[in-house]
Amino acid sequence: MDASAGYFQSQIIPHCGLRSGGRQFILMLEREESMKYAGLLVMPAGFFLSIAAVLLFPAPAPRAAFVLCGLAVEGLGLAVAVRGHMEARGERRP
Amino acid sequence: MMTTTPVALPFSEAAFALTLALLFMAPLAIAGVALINTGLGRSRSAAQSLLGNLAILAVSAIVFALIGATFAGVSGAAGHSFQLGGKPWGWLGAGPLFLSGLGSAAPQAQLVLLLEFLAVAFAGMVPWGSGADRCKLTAGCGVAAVMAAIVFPLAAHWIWGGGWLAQLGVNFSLGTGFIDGGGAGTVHVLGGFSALALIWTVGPRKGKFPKEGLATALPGHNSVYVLFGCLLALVGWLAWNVAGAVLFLHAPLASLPVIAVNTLLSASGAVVATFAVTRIRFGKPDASLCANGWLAGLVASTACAGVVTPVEALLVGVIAGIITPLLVELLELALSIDDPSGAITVHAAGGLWGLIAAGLFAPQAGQLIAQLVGIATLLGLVLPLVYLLLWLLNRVLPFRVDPDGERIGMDLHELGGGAYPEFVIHRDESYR
Repeated sequence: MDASAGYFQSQIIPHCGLRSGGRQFILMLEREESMKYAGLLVMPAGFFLSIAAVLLFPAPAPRAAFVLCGLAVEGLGLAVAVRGHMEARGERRP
Repeated sequence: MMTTTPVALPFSEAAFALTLALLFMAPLAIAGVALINTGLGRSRSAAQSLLGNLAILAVSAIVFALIGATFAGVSGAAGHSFQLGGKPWGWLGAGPLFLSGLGSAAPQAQLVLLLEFLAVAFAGMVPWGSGADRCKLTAGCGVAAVMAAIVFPLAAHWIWGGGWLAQLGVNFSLGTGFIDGGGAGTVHVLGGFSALALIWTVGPRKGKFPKEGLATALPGHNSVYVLFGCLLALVGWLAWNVAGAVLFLHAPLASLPVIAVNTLLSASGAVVATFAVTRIRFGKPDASLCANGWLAGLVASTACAGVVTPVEALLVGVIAGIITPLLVELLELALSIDDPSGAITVHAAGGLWGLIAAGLFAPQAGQLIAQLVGIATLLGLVLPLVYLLLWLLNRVLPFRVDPDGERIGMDLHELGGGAYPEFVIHRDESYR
């Protein structure tokens, strides 16, 4: 979807009956700002995976593997959050 | 090397006196970092930067005394916990309100509290350096208050106060639990992640990332402050690491000189490595990056100085020193993160590396997994929490000054006078 076309703003929002908070939320998603928050929401999932590994796996090898998986999930979340916060450059900057 | 035990050992009068004396020297680490933050900022914001550090220290101390100290607690004292998997998970301290009864508390508990007062101020100062040249004084104080009231007490209880991370060894046979004698996690990683959250909240300095081309170089205004700050920080760090080892790793007095040597070797290895990397990459060594390398070596040593041999400490420092200039470049040029003091690289990355190194080199089985669980907690739980809190605080108390204030400099805008009134501050050509 072309974000610059203002698709949500011009065609959906006036008809969907959303209040201003809802409209701002949809506009936020449209502007790719959701990446910031999606990344930060993924990171706790990695934390809970690590905790689950400690609780569920008494053997060292699977425990270590799942803790590393949890860290990998956190790393992915961090990468998405960093990408979402990056300054737009060149043509992408308004 | 020294072994650690979760059981509190009897605290001798000699250990008490030595630790108290060391804690009187530990603020030099804070003074050194304050000078470094100021020197790496611009001349037109120097007074505001240093005053901010002082204000953060004061606000942190007051808020921690009124709120945070209750929740941080100390090992062996009362706390809140829940049962999960048949094991207790201590998640919050339940100390006395407003430091009541402090004078009659156990000597070791009093010393832990004193160290936590310094640690919370240090953790609050780290993001202030990253928000230099664009954040209001009230923002620095607000961030420090949030850290001292909510975030630091949680981390301090989990790691230093006998909370669930400290008990990973007892409950799940993961080494001796999460090791962090000097506060690499509780102070530096926490501060570094707060710096990242603050930078994301306020954005880069005006003109830092122009629409086209490379990021604009905005070099620090005083390399002398920066390099002298490094020397000052060394004294404080030696005291800090040794005091932390006595309090949290229960290190015997005979092992303390080795911990000091490890601290020095880590910093030395780091600065030599950064010197070499910057000389190879740029043709000449870079003073500010070498200072960052030195600090990164010190930060890495805070986690592992008590559990590694001198050769391992040197290796830890060399790796920290290689990572530092490369990561500074990556953050600025590739990821558009404007971090004037390099706090994310120095404190967050340096601290994380130190925590991993402690797990790698510690002799106990399962120690590395304990360290990784601690890192997963800091990254997966504490960073999003700090971001959320700063985002909310920024809604109530906007962090960033208006564009005109940023143009004339924080000194004139916030304090009404410059740090160097007898010098003509040249017009900044890079401002666009």
